[in-house]
Amino acid sequence: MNETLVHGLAAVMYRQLQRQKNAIPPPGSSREALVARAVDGLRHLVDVQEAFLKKRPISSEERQAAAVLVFERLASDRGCNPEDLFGKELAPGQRQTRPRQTPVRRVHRAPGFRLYAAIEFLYSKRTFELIFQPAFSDLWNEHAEALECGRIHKARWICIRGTYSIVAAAFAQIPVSLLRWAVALWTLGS
Amino acid sequence: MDVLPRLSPKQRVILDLLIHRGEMYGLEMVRASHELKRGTVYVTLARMEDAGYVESREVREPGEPGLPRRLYRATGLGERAYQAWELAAQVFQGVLAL
Repeated sequence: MNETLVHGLAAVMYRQLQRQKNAIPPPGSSREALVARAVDGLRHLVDVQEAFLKKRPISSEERQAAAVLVFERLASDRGCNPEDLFGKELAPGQRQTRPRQTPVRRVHRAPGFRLYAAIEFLYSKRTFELIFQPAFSDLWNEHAEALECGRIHKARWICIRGTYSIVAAAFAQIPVSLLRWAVALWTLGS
Repeated sequence: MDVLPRLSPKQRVILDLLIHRGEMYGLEMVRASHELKRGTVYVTLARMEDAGYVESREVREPGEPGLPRRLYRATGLGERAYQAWELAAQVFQGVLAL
């Protein structure tokens, strides 16, 4: 068995596995079944390699050794032993269970970010800075404080109340903005 | 003849808070008073700033992300207008008492 050939083959198989979605072995599969699956799944690739090399056919022992190397590398990528990666054979009728995942922290958008963009577009810079920016600042500060305390329902309520107050401020500002526009147009026209 | 500046009830409340408590945020004023609402406090403050009764400055706290907050304080004109209103109210109450 040629060691160099086995390592080269393992590298090619590993790259191919990385491209495939089913590269991650399902939990509960035996090591032998996984090796056989990898060898079968990558047979066409190995054939391509053989055709490319045109030296000699690759033996089944070399394929097996390359597959083992690939799964050892997969295990080292995950920071676990190959045996942990393969898991244990399930008994017939035994239900396969997935390990419970720890909750992931997601990045959320600030409340009312669409309203912020719409108001920034609709109103003048001065109006936006004097009226709406402090209102958004209050909303985001209050929302962040509630989330820090773990009061999710309070944070939602702040979001609803803050959005309502900003919409109310926007409606209250409409006559003034229209009047300013009218005056500006009148001044330009005269 | 000087005309008594017109102050709405909300403007009087804002000036009262700013004169007696110093610089405040809009949200602090809403929390300190039952008459002010979140939706209209900044509209009122902007109009008062246009009239020259209050002035504001942006405060960006170091290490805190997000929008800067705006601190408001009463100007000299705002204080005089408030005092004139207070005096007028006292005189009016005195006239009513007679």
